[in-house]
Formats: sequence, C-alpha cells, structure tokens
Amino acid sequence: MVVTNLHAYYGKSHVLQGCNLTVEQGCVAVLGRNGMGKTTLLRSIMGLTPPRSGDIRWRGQEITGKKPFVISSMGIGYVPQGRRLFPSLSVEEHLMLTFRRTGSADAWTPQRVYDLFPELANRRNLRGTRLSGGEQQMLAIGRALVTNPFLILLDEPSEGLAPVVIERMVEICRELRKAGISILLVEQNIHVAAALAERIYILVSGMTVYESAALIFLKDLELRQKYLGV
Amino acid sequence: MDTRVAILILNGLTQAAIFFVLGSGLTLAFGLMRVINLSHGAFYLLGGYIGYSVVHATGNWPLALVAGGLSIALFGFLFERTMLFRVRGGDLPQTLLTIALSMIIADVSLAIWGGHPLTLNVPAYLNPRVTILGITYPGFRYILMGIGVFIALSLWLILYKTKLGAAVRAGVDDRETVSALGVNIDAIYSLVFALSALLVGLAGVLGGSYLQLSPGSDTTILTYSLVIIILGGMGSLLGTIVSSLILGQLLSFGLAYAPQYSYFLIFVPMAIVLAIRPQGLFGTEV
Repeated sequence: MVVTNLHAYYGKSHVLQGCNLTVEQGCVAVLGRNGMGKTTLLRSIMGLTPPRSGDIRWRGQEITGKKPFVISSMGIGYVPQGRRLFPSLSVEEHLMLTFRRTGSADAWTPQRVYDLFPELANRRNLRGTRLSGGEQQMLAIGRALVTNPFLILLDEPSEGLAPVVIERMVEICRELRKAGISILLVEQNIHVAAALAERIYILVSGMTVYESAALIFLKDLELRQKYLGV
Repeated sequence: MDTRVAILILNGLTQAAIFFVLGSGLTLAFGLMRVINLSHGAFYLLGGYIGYSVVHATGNWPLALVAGGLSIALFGFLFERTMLFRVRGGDLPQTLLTIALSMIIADVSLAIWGGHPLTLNVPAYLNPRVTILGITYPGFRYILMGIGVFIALSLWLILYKTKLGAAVRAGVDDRETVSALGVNIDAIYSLVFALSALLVGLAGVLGGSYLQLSPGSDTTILTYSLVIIILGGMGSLLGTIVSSLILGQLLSFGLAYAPQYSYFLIFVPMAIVLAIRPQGLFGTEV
C-alpha cells in the first residue's frame, strides 16, 4: 500500500496534513503522541473519514474515496481503536457476520479463529462486550481475520491491556505475520512497536516527519525523546 | 370475569396487534438509520386505501392484505433509493422530505378515495362468531391478533436467527464499524426501510378493516406510531410489543369509560417514561 500526501479533516479541523507511507509485506508501525492523527490516518485508509486530497493505492488500485465496505472487501481488515465490538452480538455472531468465504483451503473461518483463540471458543454464545479486555481484543482481531484480509490495520491494540495480555497480543501478531498477513500498526506503546515492526513512521501534527528501519529509530534515544518523549 | 371487561381486553389486544405492526417497522428503521419517517402515517393510509380498492374490486381480503403491504414496500423502497438516501445524516432535510411526502400522499389519497370514511369489507368466511369461555367475539379480530403474533415471530426470527438480522443489529450498535468490516450498510438500509414500509402497509389494511380510514387519520396514526416507539424504546422490538400491549388496553378502556379523554390518555405512559427513563422501556441510550 502506498499513501501519498494525504490530507483529511474532521469538520473544519485539518487533522492529516500530508501523510506519506508505504506498507509492503511485513509490519509497519506508525508512532506519535496523542492527537497527532494516527487514528485518523487509519480511518482515512478505511474510507471512514474520506480524505480531502491525496492518494491511497492498494495493490496497484486507487482506493481513495471508495466506500468502507468496498475497501474492506478488497482485502483490508480493520481493528478499530477501543475494539468497538457490537454490544448486541454474541461472539459467534461477530465472526459469522463478517466471515467472507474465499474458497481457498487455508482461508480464515470462524473455526480457525477459535483454534487461534481457544478462550473465545468457550464463550461463543456470550455477548462480545461481556468478555475481558484481552478477549475483546482477540475477538476484534478475529472479526477482522474472517474477512480474509491481506493487510490488517491495528489501532492501538495494547490500549488498556495488562502487560501479560500485551505479550499475548504480540505473539498473535507474529502468528498473523507467519500466515502472510501484513500489519499496519498504530501504537502509543513503543515496546509493542519494537517487538513487531520492521519499519517505523513518526506522525507529528498530521504529517509524517520521520521514517526509518525500526531498529535505527529504537536505538536513537535522542530521536525517541524528541518525537515521543520516551 | 365480567363479559364487558373481557370484551374490552380483547379489543385492547386487537388494537395492540395493529399497533405492533404499525410501530415495529418504524422502530427498526429508526434504530438502524436514525431516520424518523414522518410519512409513516401517510404510508399507513395509502396501504389501507389500496387494500380497500382491492377488496372493493375483487372481494378477496387476503389479496388486499398482500397488495397493501407489497405496494407500500415497493413505494418505500423507491422513495429511499431515489430521495431519502440523498439526505442521509441530515435531520432537518429528512424531516422536511418525509413531511412533504406525507402531505402529497394525503392529498393524492383525498383526490382518489374522497373524503368519506372507508372500511374494508371483511368476507363472512373470515369473520365467524367465536365463543370462548362463554364470551362471543368476532373471529376476524382473533385473526388480526394472530397476524400480529405471526409478524412478531417472523421479525424475531429474521432479527435474531439470520445473518441479515445480525447485520441489522450490528448496524444499530455501530454503523461505522460494521461497514468497515465489509457489510454494505447502504443495501441494508434500503432493505430495512422497505421492510418498515411493508409492515406499515400491512398495518393500514389491518387497521382499515378493524376501524376506518379517512383523510386526516394519517396524522393520528403517525402520532400513535411515535408514542408506541418512544414508550417502548426506539429500535427495540420487545419494547414495541410491550408498549403496543399497554397502549392497546389503554385506548380500549379509555374509549369505553372516558371517551373524550381516550386520545389524551395514550400520552400519559409516554410522559411518565420520558420523565423517568427517556430512552424508553427497552431502549438503549442514543
């Protein structure tokens, strides 16, 4: 995916002011402090906050301005910030609703999601919002997985989770990588990004101001201090 | 039990069945689309009039029911696809558009069907005298209640046992997320709006057979529908069932014991609920 000079607004406020980024096979993390436009970037890619100008190309096709469900059906999975499970739906219904058959043998089915997250299998008739925080995040990821995406957009998956659960989350993301799914990760938690990402972008006031291999950035304490304060 | 009281309860149940069919569509459409269709009452009137014409021409009441329902479903679908979708998300344009449509429908109906109250003729074979526990009551009203129960069960099955229903419920919860996960929410909007129109078209035929259709009853019916869904909680099927039962009895007993206040009475539970629990009996907070 190639994002070029993306501008987006929330009402009158100019949130994205020129975002450039490229996701190839692998995991790319977008870091930045609160309110820098990280979530808006993902929402713009998904078509939820349609960009005012700029260009998003996905597997050679222009997707800027397409409707969210079309973008989703082109193979982009979305795990929104705060999970946003459906309070009226059971775990099973979450997975059945978004499940898209691909016909291939290694497609993600609800059953395969249960195999990956056995804790969900035992709670399939429970409402999604009755699960623990970690289980809710697993369901949010599972719900995106059954759409059988090539790329998953993960918005702050570690938010509000205990350290051991975050550890599990990182493991899960590695599993997804092994299954050939690319990840575009938005994070506050630099350790999660460090554990997963190969490339890192920094977003400041809606602009991508820095890009490098993950290791280079993480070793440079001065840069970390400057952009993230950590 | 006193026969008079028993009859009043049965009348209340008949009225409740019609109220439920009337309110269920509106509440589903509102819950999902956040659009209050203010031409709901006019849809009812038009469905009833179309049913009347079919009965008048053919004498076939079941056919009239189907015709009234399907014609309004088609009409609602076309209205949503050509006009309503253009103003999605805008409360004021939606209000103006649906009010304008209701006025047009009411005037066109007046031109076609005239100003006299009309009642659909129910054939005798659908209206046997039924005596249960010593109380004789028109069989057709039992049929109305049966249709109400059948529609409630069908809606429950669609909503809770099908993928479409899961999509509707997820859309009620969070339209944005459901569309970002590959569900074409626009198509579901159109379907639900058509379903809502189908239900109110059916309600028009049922109501026009139980009571009567006349110019102006569209606004009365719209008021009833709004009271039903506000009391029950907008978007809640169970709430619509409960509020229909309450309002049906209230209207029936009100008409018998305090006819001059019966229209006013139905607002009492709504006022109480709005004061204590503004989201309605079974509604979730909007």
